[in-house]
Amino acid sequence: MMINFGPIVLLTIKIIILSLLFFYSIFAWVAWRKVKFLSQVVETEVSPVLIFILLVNLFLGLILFLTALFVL
Amino acid sequence: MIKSLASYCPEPKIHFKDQEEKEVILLLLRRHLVTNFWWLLLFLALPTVPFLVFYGGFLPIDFGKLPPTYLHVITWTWLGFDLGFFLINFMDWFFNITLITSFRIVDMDYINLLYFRVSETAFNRVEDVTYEVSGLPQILFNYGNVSLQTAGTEERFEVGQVPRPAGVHDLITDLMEASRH
Repeated sequence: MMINFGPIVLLTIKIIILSLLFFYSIFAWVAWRKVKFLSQVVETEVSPVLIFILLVNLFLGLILFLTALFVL
Repeated sequence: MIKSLASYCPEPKIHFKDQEEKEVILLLLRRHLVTNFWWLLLFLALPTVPFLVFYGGFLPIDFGKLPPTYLHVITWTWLGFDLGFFLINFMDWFFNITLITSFRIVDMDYINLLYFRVSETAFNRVEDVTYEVSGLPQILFNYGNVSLQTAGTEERFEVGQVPRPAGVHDLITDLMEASRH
């Protein structure tokens, strides 16, 4: 099937990707806050590592969002 | 650190909020590791999807016409969501904890990102303990559900899909006996 990837289709794809990445960044932020809270409820050796991974995930989401915003 | 990731961990080196000074954590329980199989498999399979779709020709759309930057961003977005899928499922497993301490049973239910519940019951309030092992995976890997009936109209405590349910049942009944003497 031939789809003409014209400006309107590309703009639609861009809006969808940006929306997804925006919600992903919010998810990553909530997940990081939640784990910070949970690690106070139950202190384990893994919690600091998990908090770090979720912080990296949050930055990844933001970097992806900014990349999509400026590159697409 | 590996011990913290166990699903059946006697005397774990952890501390929880509201833990009393003389209270000792005897057992930490999570869902059996085998219960993570399907989402782990999906997590490992999902990264192949953009490559199959864009380069495998599995969809009747010619994605070769799409600018390369779009292909890259879509692929990275997909991989990001895959990582998110892993983290959500890992957290769901990791923070769903039941602690059997020398005084009580503490059940921490991580339902989703926006909901977390901690409930506890003392051993002298437990009236009945039941465990069940049903289905082929549970019989093969020795895991099952342990449920506790507490006094009065309080709801049942459910500890689901934990390893060695007979051992857990045994420990709880022993602690119930000890609390009544």
